[in-house]
Amino acid sequence: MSELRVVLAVSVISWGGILYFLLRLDARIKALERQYDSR
Amino acid sequence: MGGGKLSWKYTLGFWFFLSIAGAFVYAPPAMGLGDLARIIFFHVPLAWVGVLAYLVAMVNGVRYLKTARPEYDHKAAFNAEIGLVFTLLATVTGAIFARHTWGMYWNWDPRQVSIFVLLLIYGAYFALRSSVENPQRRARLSAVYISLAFITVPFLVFIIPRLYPTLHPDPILNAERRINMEGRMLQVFLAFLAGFTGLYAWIAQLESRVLRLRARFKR
Repeated sequence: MSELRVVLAVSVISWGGILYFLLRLDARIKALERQYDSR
Repeated sequence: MGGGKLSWKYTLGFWFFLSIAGAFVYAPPAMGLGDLARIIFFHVPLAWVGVLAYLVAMVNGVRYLKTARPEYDHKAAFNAEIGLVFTLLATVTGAIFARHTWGMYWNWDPRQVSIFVLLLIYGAYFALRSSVENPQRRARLSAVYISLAFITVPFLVFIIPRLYPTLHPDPILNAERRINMEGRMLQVFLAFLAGFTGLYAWIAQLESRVLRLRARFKR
């Protein structure tokens, strides 16, 4: 059971990291799109 | 980071957190395999996204052959990239499962051979792309290759592994075309399938937007 908790924690942290990375990437692309549109 | 368009991405993020909790708390351990069976929630959707990305790559390859528009070549390439990454992850999760059930990470089981061949076929696509310098020629050759490569996918993923004796557990949709999965496991499994499909859509959308930006800034 404790092993399962470790895997659960690792999965949650990993997904949190991936999500944070994707959201930041999305926001940076959005900023570039705005920059282009305002030209 | 705000904005209405991002809301489905936050929803997807939350969906995955819920699915992960479902996989380890809500779904019961499987009979015979115990907690190890939970790897199926990740392994099968990863393989599914791989196949989906290869299909989209093939569609874009065909579109390039019809229109000769470079954006279709780029779309085919990044979908093949996504497909390769997800297939690789499916291979790794499969090997982890194999280690704990068959005792070895890799033992050239028909399932493992077929996924290995699939990785080689799509890996060769990138070798082909990097070996041709002329962009039009590269795009044309790549489009032909990626379109033909997809013909092998149903054989390598669905047909060949079913023709030979294998240690791999029954596929989700088994030979009798029935799904033998406990109710709660099935719910979590479907949640992951939808989640991973959404994740693929997001990654593909990001790649598309980068492509559009590159084209705009080049002008």
